[in-house]
Amino acid sequence: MKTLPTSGRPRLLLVDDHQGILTALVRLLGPDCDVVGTVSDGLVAVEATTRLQPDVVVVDLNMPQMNGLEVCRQIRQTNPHVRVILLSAAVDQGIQERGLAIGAFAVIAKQKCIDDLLPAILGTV
Amino acid sequence: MHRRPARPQVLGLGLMVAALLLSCTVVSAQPPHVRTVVAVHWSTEDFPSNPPVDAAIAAAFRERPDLSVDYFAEYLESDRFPGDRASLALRDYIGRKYDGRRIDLVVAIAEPSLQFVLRYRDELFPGAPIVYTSNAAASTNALSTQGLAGVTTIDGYRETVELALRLHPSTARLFVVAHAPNLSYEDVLREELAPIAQRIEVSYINEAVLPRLLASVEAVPPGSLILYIRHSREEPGNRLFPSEVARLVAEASAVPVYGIFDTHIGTGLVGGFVRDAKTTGTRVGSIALRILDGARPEDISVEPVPLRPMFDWRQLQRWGIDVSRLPAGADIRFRVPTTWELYWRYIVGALVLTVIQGVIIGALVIERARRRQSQTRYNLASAAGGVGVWDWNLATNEIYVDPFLKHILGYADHEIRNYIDDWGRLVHPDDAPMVMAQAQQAIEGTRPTYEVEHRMLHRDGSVRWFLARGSVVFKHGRAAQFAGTDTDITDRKTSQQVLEQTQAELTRVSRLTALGEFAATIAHEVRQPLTAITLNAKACLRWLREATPDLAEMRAALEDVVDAGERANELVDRNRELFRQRSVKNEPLDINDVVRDVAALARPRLQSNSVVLTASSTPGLPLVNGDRIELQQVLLNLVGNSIDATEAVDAGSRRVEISTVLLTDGRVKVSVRDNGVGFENVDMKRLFSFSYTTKPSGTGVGLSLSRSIVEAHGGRLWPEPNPEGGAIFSFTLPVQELAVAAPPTAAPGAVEVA
Repeated sequence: MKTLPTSGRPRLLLVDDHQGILTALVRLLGPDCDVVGTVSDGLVAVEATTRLQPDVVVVDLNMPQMNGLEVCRQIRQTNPHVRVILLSAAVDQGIQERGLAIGAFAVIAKQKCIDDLLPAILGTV
Repeated sequence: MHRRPARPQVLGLGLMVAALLLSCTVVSAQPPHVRTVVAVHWSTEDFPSNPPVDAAIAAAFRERPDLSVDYFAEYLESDRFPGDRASLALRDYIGRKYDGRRIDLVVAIAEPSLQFVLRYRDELFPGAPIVYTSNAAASTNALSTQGLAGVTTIDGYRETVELALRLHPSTARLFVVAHAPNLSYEDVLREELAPIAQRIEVSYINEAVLPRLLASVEAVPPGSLILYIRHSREEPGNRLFPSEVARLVAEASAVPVYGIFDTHIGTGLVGGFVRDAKTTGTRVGSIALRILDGARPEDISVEPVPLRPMFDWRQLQRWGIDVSRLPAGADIRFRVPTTWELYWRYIVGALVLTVIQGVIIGALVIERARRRQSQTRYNLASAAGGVGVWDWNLATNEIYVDPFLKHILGYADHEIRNYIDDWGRLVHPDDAPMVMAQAQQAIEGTRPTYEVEHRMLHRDGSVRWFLARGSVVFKHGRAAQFAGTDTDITDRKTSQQVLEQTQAELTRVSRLTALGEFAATIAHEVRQPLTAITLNAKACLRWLREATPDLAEMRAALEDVVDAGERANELVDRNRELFRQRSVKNEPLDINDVVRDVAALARPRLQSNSVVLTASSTPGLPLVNGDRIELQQVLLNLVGNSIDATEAVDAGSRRVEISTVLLTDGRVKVSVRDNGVGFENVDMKRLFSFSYTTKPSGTGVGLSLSRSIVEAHGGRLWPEPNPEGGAIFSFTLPVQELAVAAPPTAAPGAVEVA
């Protein structure tokens, strides 16, 4: 886990089981946000949220052990003030509705995260 | 046989003959033992009763050759020459004829002869004993004379009439026909037939003139009988014997005619108790012999010659008289032999021949039927089995081909000539060289049997498959004949091909079905590196827009892009083959590699179902021979089943484990173990049946196909319950013989891949 120095910018916790994706997300969002941590496991993500108190948690929907929806639900229970943005490989109406139903701030397609994710994060703040 | 003297009708001739005989007697002295017997008949030589009497007497003498009897017959002919004239002439004749010859015995036939003999006895036959026949009805006053013996002849008037009345019970009248110029029968007859006359009316036809006689006979009313005694004609010329008149009477009569003389039987009379000439002659001969043997004539009693019941068979038939009603010992003459009696030998012969012929024909018919049945059976069997025979004469190249075989190819029997070239032309061109080569080898003897599957061309251009079998017959060391069968195996071949195609198709479809479940998640897998690439590339673009880009960061991002791209390629490569239609390979492979492939392929599904997969591979396993993709498919299928089976378990504790192990017998065992529902609600008997499934959307193909694949690899696939709950599916594979074990890889004992 990697902790970045804090500032007035949004504090992010990134959750994805693919290291390559995490790295790329950090590179992409780093200039505009403070990435307070990256985790590759859903279970760890809930605990890290409580400990790190990020403004936004970006969670990959499809993960072993605990998938993104479950992570989102638990974070919303334990830390209701933290916004959760779900990333999905493919976003359809069903995923969108299910994600929003459990309290996700947004459900965004991974490949569109440049165009949609940053505005979404910034929109949460 | 007696010697016949010349007839005395011409005196001169008789004298000459007598002289001749006399001279013979003088010249050659007769041996002393020769006896001379002279018979004197009352009538002419041709009188019907004379020949049988003479024959019987002569026969009696012939019976005694030791007595050496010379028998002569002379004829008084008193009936033709009435008065003394004939007697005197005969006296002179005999006197001269037998002059100097001792006559040892004289036979006198009938009363006139006896009178003649007695009259001239001393003159002609001095001292010679006399044997006579005499009618008992006639008076013989001279019978006391010394040296006489004889028989009496009796007439069966009454006996015959009684007999006739028995045979014709409804007879109302009796007509008696009797006429002789010098004899009066009627008195005798009236006395004899008196008892008869008391029962029925008896009339007499004593008519001298023949036409009148016959007219009277014709007038005899029905229900009558006629007793024909005799009829001697008085008119000169056209002499008729009584027997000839009997014939005329019988012809004229409308009623049965009976008679009392044997010589009349056969002329049309029914029969009667008759005086029998032959019996009379035999009796006379017998007495003569006794006398010649030394018996005294006086000691021989005079006995009557018994009457003989004699019948004409034809007349019995005509009048419907049953033979059984005749008196015992009846002499039935003129029996017309039946066709059977005449020709029984021919009939029996013909019957035997017919029977033999019949038997032969029957046997042939049966044999033919049997053959036909056999042929029918053969044809049926031939058609049913699709088998036909062929027989190739190697000397002439003629070949008999079962018409059935020609029929299979769409030809009538006559449409293909029976020569090997004509038949061979129908062999599929691609197969012809192979077929001819094998046939050649069989003919040359280098191949013991000829058995080849080949194609034949049907008339319509289609192809039929034949299994040809045959063997060569060698004669005198040379191949003479090549015969065998062709079996139509087209259906088998076709179904085999169809089956193979179907199986291949099924395998592919099944694989696609099985893989289809993974396909979506595989796309996800590939998407990960693609997403990484995109994100990194976009990050770089952002940095490039800044005044002083951090080149080191950009380099790191681009390196990640390259890595992700390569990983994506890898994934695509690994998955692409699974979806391709391909031929089955048989190559040495490490089963642990297959396990790794499957762990990677199954990962997306495992993840989406929150199942943890553990692979416990034993390193350094011997290589197995097989098809990597097919074995992947088996393992993927088993893992897929396990994933499904764990659905009922809590998401956090769903586990699937793949393990590989080397068995002590050298085989490799692969097991897939899960903690799912196990075999509850599973029909174990049908578990591997095609289309058996417990899943709502299952096809039931997976396990069946998996087992087929494993068995095709020489292995075995079986299920067993997991002692810790759930199921275990294991399969074994034989290891490659002499194969060098793959070098131990760096694979860990247990790698968590998901």
